[in-house]
Order: sequence, then C-alpha cells, then structure tokens
Amino acid sequence: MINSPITTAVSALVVPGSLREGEERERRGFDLEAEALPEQIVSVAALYRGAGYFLECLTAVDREDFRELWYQFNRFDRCERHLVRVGLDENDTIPTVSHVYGSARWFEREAFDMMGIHVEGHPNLKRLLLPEDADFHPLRRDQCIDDELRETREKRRAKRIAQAEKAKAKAEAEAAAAAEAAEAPTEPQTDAVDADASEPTEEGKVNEAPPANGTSPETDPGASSDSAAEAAPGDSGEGEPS
Amino acid sequence: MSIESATLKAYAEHPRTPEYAPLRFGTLTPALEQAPDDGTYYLNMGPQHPSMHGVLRLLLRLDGEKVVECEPIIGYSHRAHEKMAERGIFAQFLPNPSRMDYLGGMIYNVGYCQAVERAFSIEVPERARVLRTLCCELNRISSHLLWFGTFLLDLGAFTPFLLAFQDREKILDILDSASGSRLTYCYANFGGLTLDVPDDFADRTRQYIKEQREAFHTYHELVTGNVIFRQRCEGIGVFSKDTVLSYGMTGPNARASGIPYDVRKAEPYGFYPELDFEVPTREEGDCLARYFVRFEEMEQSLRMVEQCLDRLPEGPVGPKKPLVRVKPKPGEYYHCVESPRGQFGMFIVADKNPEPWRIKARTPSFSNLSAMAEMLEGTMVADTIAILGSIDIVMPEIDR
Repeated sequence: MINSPITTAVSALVVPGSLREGEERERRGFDLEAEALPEQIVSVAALYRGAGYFLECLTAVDREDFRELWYQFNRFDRCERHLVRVGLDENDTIPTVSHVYGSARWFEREAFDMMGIHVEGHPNLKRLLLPEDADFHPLRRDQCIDDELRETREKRRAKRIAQAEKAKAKAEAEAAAAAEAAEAPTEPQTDAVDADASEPTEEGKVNEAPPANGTSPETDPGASSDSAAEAAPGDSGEGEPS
Repeated sequence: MSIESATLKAYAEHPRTPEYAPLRFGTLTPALEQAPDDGTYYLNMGPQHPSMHGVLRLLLRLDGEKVVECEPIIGYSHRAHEKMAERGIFAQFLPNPSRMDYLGGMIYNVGYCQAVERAFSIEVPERARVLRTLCCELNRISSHLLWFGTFLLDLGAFTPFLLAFQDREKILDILDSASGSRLTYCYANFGGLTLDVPDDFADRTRQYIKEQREAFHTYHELVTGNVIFRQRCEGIGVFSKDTVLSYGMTGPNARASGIPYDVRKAEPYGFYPELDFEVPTREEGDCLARYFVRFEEMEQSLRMVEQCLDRLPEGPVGPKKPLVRVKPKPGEYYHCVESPRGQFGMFIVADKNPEPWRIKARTPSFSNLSAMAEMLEGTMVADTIAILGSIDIVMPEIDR
C-alpha cells in the first residue's frame, strides 16, 4: 500500500517523512496518514480528485494550542481511507478546496461556522448552521461551556503541562547522566506502563450508574486519569499536544 | 362584591406593545431586498412547507419556471450534538445519535456503539451482534417505507402514503416490543444490547416479512406503472457519476447513479460479512432509478432479516451490568455504517479523559443535499419537489 502510485505522488506533496501507514487499522480505521501544510492542501486534494477519491469528511479539531483540519479521502470501489492532517497557525486560515470537491463547499462553511476557520477563496463563506448574526464559534473548546466544566478543564490542562515539563526535565537529567544510568530507568518505566494498561481496564469496567448531570463524573475519572498519568510520565509527554 | 376576573386584570396590567420591530429578511438574505434586474425573481420555499421534509428552506431564483439558482438555508433544527458529546462521558452520548436521524435511529445508535467498541476493544456477544444487524435492517425498511409514502405524497398521490405507514407501523411495533421506543432508539449499549428480545419476536417478524412481501405487489400495481408518476420521475434529476464523486454522495442516491458503493460490502461490520445479500445498482441516475434502488434494497433487507432470524444464536446479549465507563485510549478513530441514506461516520477523538475530546458525525444527507443544490440549476420548479423527495433527506441529520 505504501508503495502504490497514489501514495508516492502524495508523499511528494506533503510534509516530507510524514506519510505513514495507519496504525492499528482494525481499531482506528485509517489506511494511510499524512500531514500537510495549509498551502499544500489544494494540490493534494486535486491529486486525490484526479485519482478517483471522494472527500469523505472534513473535520476541524481544536487542540487548545492550535487548530487542525483533517481531510479524509476514500474510494468507492475499494475501501482505502486516507487521512491528511493540516495544522493551522494562529490566524486559522486555509485555502479553499471547494473548486476541486463540491462537498468541500459545505464542509468548509461548517468548519468556519463551528470552529472559526477562515477559508480563503471560498465562494460563499458564511454561517451554515447557526444564524448569520451569531458572534461565536461553538465548537471551540473554550466556548459554550459552564464555569464548572471550564475550571475542571483548566485544572487538567495545567496538570498536563506541569507533568510534561516534569517529564522533560527528567528526560534531560537522564540524558545528562551516564549511558548506563540512562538505560536503567527505561525498564521500570515500561513495567509501569504495562501495569497501568492492565489496571485501568479493570477500573474502567467498574460499573456505575450514569450520573444524572453532566458535570459530576468530572471528579472520579479525573483522579483516576491523573494517577494513570503519574504512573507513566513518558506517556503523558507524548500526549502533550492533545 | 365584584368577582375579579384574572384575565381582565392581566389584560389591564399588560398593555399592548406599542410597536413591534418589523420582521425583516434583511440581515439574512440581502438578495431578497434587491430585485434582480434581469427578469428573474426569487421564490422562497420553506422552512414551513409540507414537502420540505422538516425545516429546510430553499431560496430559488427563477427565470419563468426555470430554476437559475438555488440556495438551501439550513440549521433550523441545529441542536449542537457535537458540543453535547464533549460535555459528558462516552455513555452519556448514547441517546443522541438516534435523535440525529429519527428515521434510521437504530442504525445511528448501533453505529455509535460500534465505533466506541471498535476503538476501545470492547467485546460484543454473538447474539447481540446478530440482533443488532436484524434490528438495523428492520429499521432500514421502515425508513424506506416512510420515504416511499412521503415521496408519493410530494408528487400528489395520497393513498400510497397511508399504505406505507400502515406497514411501517408493524415494524415500529416489533422494534417497540424489543427496545421500548418507537423512533429514537437507545437499544444498543456498549458491549451489547440493553435487553433481550421478547419470546414472540421471531414469530411476529416472520409474519411481518410475509405480509410485507405481499404488500410490495400492491405498491407496484398502484404506483410503479402509473403514467403521472412515471412522467414526473423518468429522466428527472439525473446525478452524473462525476457529481456523485465530487460531492461524496453515498447510499441509494449513489447506487442509482451506477456506483455500487455500500459500506456493508466495502467495509463490513457487525453480522454483515456472514449474510448473503446483493447491492442493487442502477445506471440511469434519475428519480425513477432511486425509486427502484430503494425498493430492491427493502427486499434485500427482508432477506437479511430472515437470515438473521434463522441463525440467531442463544446466549447473553450484553455484559451482566451495563458498561458505563469505558476506558478511552488516546487517538482518533473513524467508523462508518450504512444508514438508509448513505454512509454515516463517527469520527471520535479521544484523550485520556473519560469524555470524548471531539465527536464529528459525518451524515449522509449533508453531502446529498449539497449536491442537490447545484443539480437543481436549470430544472423546472415543479421538479424541485420530485427531486427533493427522491433523494430522501432528513433535516435533523443535516443540522445535527
């Protein structure tokens, strides 16, 4: 798959080295993943259109630090789902692909409506689902949430950043130490990850009645996920941008 | 002693507002304010129009009776399901998907459960897998029957509507006996089903299949050969293969244009890999082709229901206690199922927290309707209704 003509052509257009086969196809559903820059996406889309792929879905994801657009291409004759991620800068601008794919017209309007992505060159960029006089973008992470949820999220975020910094400092200290000392902590660390993986699944299957309101589950799971993160500092370092 | 009238008192206390702010189209559609000077004019269809299938508003620019331009205005039933998903844990989103598409609620509910199960490796017992597929197919028939009724109602035929609803009622009763609700099901649960089906479920379903097969003859005798119906459908609203590809149309609409894409075959899920069924396809791409594709699909669905009933194993239908708190693994996941209108996809972004980070629903009608807007250009205004009816949209699914 990684050597088929389309992937070779795509790999020449996207960020070098970002093209890879989708991990865990059975669980995640993507055959191929790639990352592209905003200025590359039009040529990537044109390539897929010429090769007979359709634009299945366009998802805007708010990562709090930045926003992403995920273009998903698929085929009618066989299932081959390609995911092209485009990270956006602070201006949230992206060129339109609506002249390549008709479906992008509404997908891009939806991204603008819900996430405030500015699509350059779109023929009719205005609100799609919300009224035209709405002055907010509801699917941004900091929008349309109550104070309690906001506090919980801010706490989590602060904790995550602190842990990432801690892990980074630890890694640097380890790198500074001798090669023997650097190798030694990796083993207990993997053990910790394994123990962590098995423990929470049991914990996760603890059956509780769903809480009546949306905010109360914040406390327990937050604590459990924190303990999980503490057990595996390496893991939290990886998941930092999320 | 005078009897005090509460109404008169309230009337005196609340005088009439001296001036109401005038209702204006102004901010919404500046186009309406300035009449075009080329002889064309605007016609506003909907949102409260019986043939608009919910709350769709079409702003048509007409030249005589020809549509020059069409702009669908949507969002009247936007309920922010995707935002709701971010607020609660995964299980709290369970009732929502069936509210997106109230005609294919079972399929949406099962689709969401399967997406979560597949992403986080949750096992489903065999009996639940078969029962889910069975209920999904029954739901598909009920959705297509409603489409048949309302499509013909749009074209001015009233009797098929009554016949179709009569038969659809039987499916709703069967599904009601199993799940406890008639339209917006929350039957599937993470790891299986909430309840097992009642004892007489199989007998009732077999009886229904027998009756439905006979009813198809009635439908075809009544409608399919009808001259008025044929003239309003044949050659009307043709979607080319290129349009289908460009707009990502799926489902019966794509299959009527000669693209044999069906998620049940392309990316099999549930019990479908073990079932024997065909994907009906037509080449013409017009309203009549879509009509026939949906009818063939209903017959295939009946076949599938029969096979499921024959091969229904004994055993549990789910975990002993409901699995409420799933343990998410960070990452992004996509799972799609075949809804009555096309590919319904669930895009889940998860991190370590028990709430989903982001859930995006890829709904089929969204793409289908966006294609229709372009396709309407150059058609007659009377055909608008036929085309809109034939592509079978459900507005709450588009608005989410």
